[in-house]
Amino acid sequence: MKCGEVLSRLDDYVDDLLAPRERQAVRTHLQTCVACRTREESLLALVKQAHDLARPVEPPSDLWPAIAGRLGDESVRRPRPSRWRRRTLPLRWLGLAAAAVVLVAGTALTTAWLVGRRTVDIRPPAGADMGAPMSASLGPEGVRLKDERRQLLAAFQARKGRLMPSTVKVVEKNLRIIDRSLGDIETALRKDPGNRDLTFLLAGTYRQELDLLRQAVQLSNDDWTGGKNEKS
Amino acid sequence: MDGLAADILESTDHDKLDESEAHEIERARCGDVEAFERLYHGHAAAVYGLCLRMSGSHAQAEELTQEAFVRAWRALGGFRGEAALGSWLHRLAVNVVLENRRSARRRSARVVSVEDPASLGKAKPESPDRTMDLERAMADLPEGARTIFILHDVEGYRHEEIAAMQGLSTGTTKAQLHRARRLLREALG
Repeated sequence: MKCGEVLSRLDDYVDDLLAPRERQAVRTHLQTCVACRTREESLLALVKQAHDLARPVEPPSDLWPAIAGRLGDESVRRPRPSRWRRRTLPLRWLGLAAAAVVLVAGTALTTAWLVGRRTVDIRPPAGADMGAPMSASLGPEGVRLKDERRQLLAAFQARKGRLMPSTVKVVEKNLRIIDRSLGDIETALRKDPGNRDLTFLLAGTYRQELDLLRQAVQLSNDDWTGGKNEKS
Repeated sequence: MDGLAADILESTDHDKLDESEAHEIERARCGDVEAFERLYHGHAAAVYGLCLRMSGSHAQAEELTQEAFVRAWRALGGFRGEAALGSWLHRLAVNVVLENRRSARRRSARVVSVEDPASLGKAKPESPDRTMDLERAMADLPEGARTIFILHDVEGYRHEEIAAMQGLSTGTTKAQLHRARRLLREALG
């Protein structure tokens, strides 16, 4: 192999990407050619230097406050439904309903597992009151969740007339299911106030409820009328 | 078991994750912002360092780091622990930088330049001179060659991975790497 052929393969040689026979040919040449070996050493030094650059660098300022601010926005701001999504809205709500049922089933089973019970009845109670009590065990986070939940519930109640009745029915049904689950966790927490896993589960379930409410409120803001307005 | 309970009880692969970090990830996945903040503080320097190297600008690195963590928050539900969180965040941050670059390129043909190459060295005063020289020389590389060089030689991605990220062939990434290395060796003497 000649110098030109070796130099054209030197990057792959250093990166160990050559086939065995080709690699051996380059190696044999480098053992006898000082000029090419110098190029190889220079390349190896560069690669080593570059590798050493991969180090953590502390940001000059704390970026967390800005990130946290955007997380808040992310959780509230939802993409406006497109016309296509409006037409398929019932499917979305079916998905939401299914997700809520799965959530509550999973939450109830997890609660049972955490408190050592064998089974939990996850049927929504007839006439369940929308809005389970907020556990004091969540501390300041509980206050924030409670406040947001109160506002969203008020907004939903005020605007639900702008949603299709079938949509309102799905939302209210799922709120009742979630509240039943919250009640189970609250009950378990009263028996075992120091159970951090239950507290964690409670917070997660509240957030799921808030998410459902936010979507309902957002849709009511979009003035969904079952597509009737789109024809005009 | 399904849904949230599965997410919690299935947990993640603890063989591959630090136990306490796995716990924080579980909490963050369920919406615990404080847990996510702790994850942020554990990985911010690595992500910021990557963004700084790839963008060449402290201001851009700050924006890109923020964007990477916001995206991580959104995508955390899909994180199942097949890789360490640090590797997952690293890859996510690379994608954020590359997407940002593509968007910027669409907005204008302006090439991203380093605001102050010397400041990269100042970020680590203990860096030897040769490292500062390399960083300055890297800043002068054409954008494409610079990106490939950083992804391959600094961050350790393979050509196949870089090609997939960039929508290029491995032949192109190899050619760009060869070009970058040649230009750097010439610049460094």
